[in-house]
Amino acid sequence: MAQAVVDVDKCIARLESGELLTEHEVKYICEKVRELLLEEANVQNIKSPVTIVGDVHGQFYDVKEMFRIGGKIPDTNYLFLGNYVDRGGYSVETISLLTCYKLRYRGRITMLRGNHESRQITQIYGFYTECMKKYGNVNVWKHFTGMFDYLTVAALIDGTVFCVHGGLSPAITTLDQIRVLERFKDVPAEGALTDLLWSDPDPTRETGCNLSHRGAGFAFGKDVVDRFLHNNNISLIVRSNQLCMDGYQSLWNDTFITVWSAPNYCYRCGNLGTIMEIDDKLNRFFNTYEAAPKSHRKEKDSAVKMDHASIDYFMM
Amino acid sequence: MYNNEDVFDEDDFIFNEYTIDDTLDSLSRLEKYYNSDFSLQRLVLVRDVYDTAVEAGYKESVKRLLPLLTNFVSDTEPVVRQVFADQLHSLATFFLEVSKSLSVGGGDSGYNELINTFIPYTFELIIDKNTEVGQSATEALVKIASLIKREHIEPQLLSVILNLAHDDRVEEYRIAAAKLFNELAPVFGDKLCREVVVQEVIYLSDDPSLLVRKTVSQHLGKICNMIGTESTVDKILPVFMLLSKDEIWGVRKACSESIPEISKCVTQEVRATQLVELFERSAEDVSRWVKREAYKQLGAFIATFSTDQSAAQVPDSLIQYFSDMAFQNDQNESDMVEYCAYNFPAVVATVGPSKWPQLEEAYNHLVKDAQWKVRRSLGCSLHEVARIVGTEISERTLTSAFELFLKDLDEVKIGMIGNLAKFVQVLSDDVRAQYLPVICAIPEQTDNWRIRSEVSQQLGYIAELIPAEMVREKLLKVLYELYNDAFAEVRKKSIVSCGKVLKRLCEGDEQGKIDFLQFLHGLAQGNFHKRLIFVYACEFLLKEIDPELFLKEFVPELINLTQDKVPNIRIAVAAFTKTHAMQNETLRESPQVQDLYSRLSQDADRDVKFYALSSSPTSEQVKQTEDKSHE
Repeated sequence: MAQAVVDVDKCIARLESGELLTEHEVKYICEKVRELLLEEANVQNIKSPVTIVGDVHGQFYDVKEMFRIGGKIPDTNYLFLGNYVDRGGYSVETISLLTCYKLRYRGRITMLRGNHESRQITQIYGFYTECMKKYGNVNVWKHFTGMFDYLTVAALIDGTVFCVHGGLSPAITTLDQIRVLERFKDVPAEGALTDLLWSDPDPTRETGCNLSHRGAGFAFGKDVVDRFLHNNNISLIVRSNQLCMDGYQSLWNDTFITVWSAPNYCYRCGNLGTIMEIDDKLNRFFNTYEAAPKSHRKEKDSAVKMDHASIDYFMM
Repeated sequence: MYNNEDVFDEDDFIFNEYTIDDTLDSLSRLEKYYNSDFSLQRLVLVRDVYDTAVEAGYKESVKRLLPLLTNFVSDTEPVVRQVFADQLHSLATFFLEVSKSLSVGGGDSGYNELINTFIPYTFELIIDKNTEVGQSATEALVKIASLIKREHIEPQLLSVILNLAHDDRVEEYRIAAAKLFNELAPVFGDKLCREVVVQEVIYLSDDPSLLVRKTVSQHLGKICNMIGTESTVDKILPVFMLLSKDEIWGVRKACSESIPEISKCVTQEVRATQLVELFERSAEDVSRWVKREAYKQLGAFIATFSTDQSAAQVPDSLIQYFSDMAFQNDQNESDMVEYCAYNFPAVVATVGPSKWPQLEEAYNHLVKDAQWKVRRSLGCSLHEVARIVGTEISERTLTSAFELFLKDLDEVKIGMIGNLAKFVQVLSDDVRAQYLPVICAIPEQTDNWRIRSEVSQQLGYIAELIPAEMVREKLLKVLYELYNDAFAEVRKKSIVSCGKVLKRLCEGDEQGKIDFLQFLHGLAQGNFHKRLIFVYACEFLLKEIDPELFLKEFVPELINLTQDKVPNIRIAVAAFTKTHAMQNETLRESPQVQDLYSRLSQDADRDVKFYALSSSPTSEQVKQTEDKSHE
């Protein structure tokens, strides 16, 4: 089949206005981004300033709101901690847009893998069904989940802030151990890679770790974090994976921070969203926001409504 | 949830039922799956059918795609038929245009498909038993009709509708015909409308079916517009007046709905007499629905009077009816109040400020209405009403509405703030000065960033309306805060005002100019967000101030920023330089700007280089940059 040229800028413009990509376009961007991801290290080095985004879970209109708060690409560099899909109603739009950004601005956006970026989980929590509903077949789901196998799992900001979707693993004490993991496959049922994507902190625990109630990963205590920071000469761990009502939560003397970026999670939790802005002097700022107002959810109508007051009254 | 011991196997995830072969091109895919039992698959195929035709090209589409379309016309799933109806116009256009450009069959074969394939399909879907399908198909026909050659309009289009209109057995056909006569009136043109359509409509207006009579009552405007005032008054108006006295309330309601449309096409005399009487009769109708519809249309009806006519001829009774609507909440008719608020500016614009005393009480009642939609509508139109009634009335009456709306819900407040400067413009200098502190306090009194963003955009325009020293004393402080807002969108919307502000200060306040320049230099040397917003400021500074001043004050800062270690800053400098600085004649010639530009074009970062080299990114340029980066 002849490959028509895909114009990424036009794809981005269409996605931003609420349209979907064609199946062919999805295939193309996933193939191209897979090539880019192949080059990334398991612990990808990135430079400040950068804005860290936690779980967004298919809440496309809140992702767009988030870009209004944090700034558009390429004004702002972004590090996404994973969980782009499932739960929310617009996983396809969300992952399509982020993937296009990655292709267009590879140096401005880093995407980590979350525990939902897997074939098995997406079949249960919505992404699979959404792809079926919007495209009438599962090809798009296959293209995206194929790309997920290439997403990297951790990032290190200016050599001092370690970022990962879930948390730490009892099998991992140094960054070098992460660097040598074989990651180009679906998320396994267990092991170090799985722990990085699934684990949570246990704020009540001083030492050691336990199996997580999630069925994968561990719940780890303060000393595990302290040792990891010390061994690797880093000052802070930033992760997502857990809902925070205020959009973020800081544990253990600000050494372990959870960032959550899906406001009003599942359209009913009433929580705030937060992005963590790290400037070029490594100052941290938690920028907190609410879900996008209803009038901004159907973008095509609302663009008119919000910009032209005249629709609210009649004048010849 | 994820603790089973099975090793994950890729083969588990092949879903034969829902997988479709993605090695096939679109047309082969359509051929293979158009008959799928899975209706969602058919829906997606029909949604993409235009793209499929374009991809496959004319010849293959005629051979392989056209024969499949009939399946979608008779698809068991209404939504598939509806989406197919939505595609008819673009498909027909494709075949028409491409065959013309390829000169296939003397360039006519696409047109033959239009006449022999697409129009029959469209009519078939117009009389579909599902009304949504029928509606989509009707809209499609209106668009397709413009592709038909003049000489084929009567035999290929009008004659088919006449057959529908004359079908005594199926009222749906006559209903469809009544709609189409009106919707296609512009296509039929003046002559066919006068000679054929008018008679047909008159005939249908006496139809035994109330739904047909109702449809006729609702669909007269485009025909009247086509045949002109004289024929409207002679031919259509008598029929319309009869329909407005129909024994069925649904027909009378449809007539109420059409009053403004008919009114646009009659003489001043008829408007002021017969139509006003018709309105008054409808407003007193025994049916509540007829009454409500008449009131709903009253604002639009008044607006059909010209300003001259309304000064001489608008019966005060209409204004009275209109202002009575504002008080209908007491009768539980809250919709009426909404219509009144919605149409208020149009009515004031028509009757003019001299009639304001007859409307003032209604306005003052509306601004305190319990429904926020009513108040939002008035908030959005406040500046229009102010402009029409002038300074004196605005200051006497509208300022209190302004004060109320400022304390109102965000939905109301934001509607008004969107046109704040236009409202302020109507006020006298003294009253402006009095309200300035109130306006400057809006950002700090809200935690809604959209309000901060809206008001920030207005402040630049307001700066142009007040003395320069007042800009320094009152505006600068709030602007500084907005330019440093925590939310990116607020910073970007706010910074738009900086050019107008500096210009105003340059014109009349030396101290203010010094202060503001110092602030801008502070941004250029500040943290990441400040440096970025400084670069954005440059676009709006350059628009408003002397280019020589820009060269002296800001270009050196930009040159410094080409060394910034943060690539995002350099990207912004590159975009500004290419899109704005290099487009300005004075700047383009300057060695400093040329130096700036050459530094950026040689930047090591691919995004910086991209923005320096292309102002409006095209795929070709992206592709070239991509290729280079791979070398």
